Amino acid sequence: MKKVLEDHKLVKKKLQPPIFNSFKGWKSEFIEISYINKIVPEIVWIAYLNNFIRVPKTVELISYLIENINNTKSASEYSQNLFISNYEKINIKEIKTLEGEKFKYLKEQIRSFINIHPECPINKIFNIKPEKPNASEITEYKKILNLLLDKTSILSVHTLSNIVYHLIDNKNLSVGQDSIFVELNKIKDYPKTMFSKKLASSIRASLNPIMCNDNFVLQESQWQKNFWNNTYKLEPYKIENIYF
Amino acid sequence: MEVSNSKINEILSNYSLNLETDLKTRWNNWEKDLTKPEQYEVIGAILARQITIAKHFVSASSMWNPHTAPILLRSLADNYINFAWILESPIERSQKFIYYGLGQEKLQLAHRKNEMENREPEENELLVINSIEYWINSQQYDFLTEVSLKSWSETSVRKMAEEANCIDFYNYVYQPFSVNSHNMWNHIGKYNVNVSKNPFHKFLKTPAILKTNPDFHYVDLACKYTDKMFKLFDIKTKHKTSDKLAYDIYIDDLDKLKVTG
Repeated sequence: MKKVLEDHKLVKKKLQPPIFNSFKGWKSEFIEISYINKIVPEIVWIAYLNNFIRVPKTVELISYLIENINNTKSASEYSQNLFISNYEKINIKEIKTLEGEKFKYLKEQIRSFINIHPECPINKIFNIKPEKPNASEITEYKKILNLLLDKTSILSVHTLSNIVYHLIDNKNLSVGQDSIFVELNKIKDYPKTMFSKKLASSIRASLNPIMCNDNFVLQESQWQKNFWNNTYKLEPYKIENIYF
Repeated sequence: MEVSNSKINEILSNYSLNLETDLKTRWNNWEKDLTKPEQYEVIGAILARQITIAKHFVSASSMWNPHTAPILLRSLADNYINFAWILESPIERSQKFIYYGLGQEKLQLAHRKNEMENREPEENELLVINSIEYWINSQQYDFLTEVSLKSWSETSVRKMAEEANCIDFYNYVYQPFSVNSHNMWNHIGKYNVNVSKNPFHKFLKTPAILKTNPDFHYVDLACKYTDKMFKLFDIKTKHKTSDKLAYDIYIDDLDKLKVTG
């Protein structure tokens, strides 16, 4: 029988996986992006809208919102506004007061989300007076989060593809002729075709470097820090039966 | 004391249920910060482990003897020392505890896979492999998981006990019961040998099993070690309660039994 873990390197009585020694300085270069801690809190609002008004309408309304809120100056600024944490930096005085049917419609669609997350910095734009969420709002939100926590669910994949679409549209993500993203619209077939599954995988992978880059997402934001504590407070876990 | 007494059984059964209440009350009232969930997961699981062992032990009188009781009592003591040491620095040490466990699981998995390499694995074996892989990867990708060949705390149990202010517990409980658990001569030389009385045999020690009756003292010890954990939890997490702990109720019930005879 061969030796176990022979591709590992023994360093100070610890067997280190090959990646630890694959290239110099990997520890500082390699940043593990936690989907649950880093990505979910940032994209949850888009998933929320996707769930209720479907992807094409969400794309349209988010484009409208971002283009109009603060006279967006650059492509990177546009992309920043896809992620909730960045709204913490926005100066309320610089925000254009939005009106019109599109804005009103969007405000209505996001209202329940703000009721659940009154601390959400995105409410700087909507200025919704939050009310205590009712039982059905909470139930619906739990369903959405459940789907979003599964990276491979249709809702998650469509939400992530929605973000990738905006990044490409604003040239924050370059797409060469041979790139799989040339056919990004085929994500609508997910998960029925092999191509859409490959596309989903590429979408997930392409977002990781964006999410840990503070040019795109404000790192260590209060929103990110408190997101799961706030959802927990909605329904704290109470052990009733110790057996499972 | 007559252990088959139905009143004793009733007291132990109540004690067992009250342990569940002690754990539930504490865990449910403990304010959580999910940015660092590991401390709640590890500390909660260690408490659950302690009451699991205690509950099974108090309901199994066939275990209340010097052959087998110390194995479980030592496990309770070991669990307590881990608990006390982790509580000195809960975030960092809970993570350390988890990562060590993941590394050990990865090593076991590698051994299993290695053994199967030159044969066709059975379907249920593959299910086991998949479930272990899933368990590891759901917490940390296995390609990022180190396998430590040291102890989980990277220090000795004695040092842990010193740092967690429970060196007496180490000296008087953990150490003596370790002798039994590790089947050392100073246990088996007393409990698993009979000295021949025949002068021709030069006091030869022969294999034997010391006959024992269930000893309720071991139950007392298990209850004490479990109670000790809850008391420490209350101090460290500032849990305030006027409710009696399972152990206090158990002592009261035993006292009542003595009074009523």
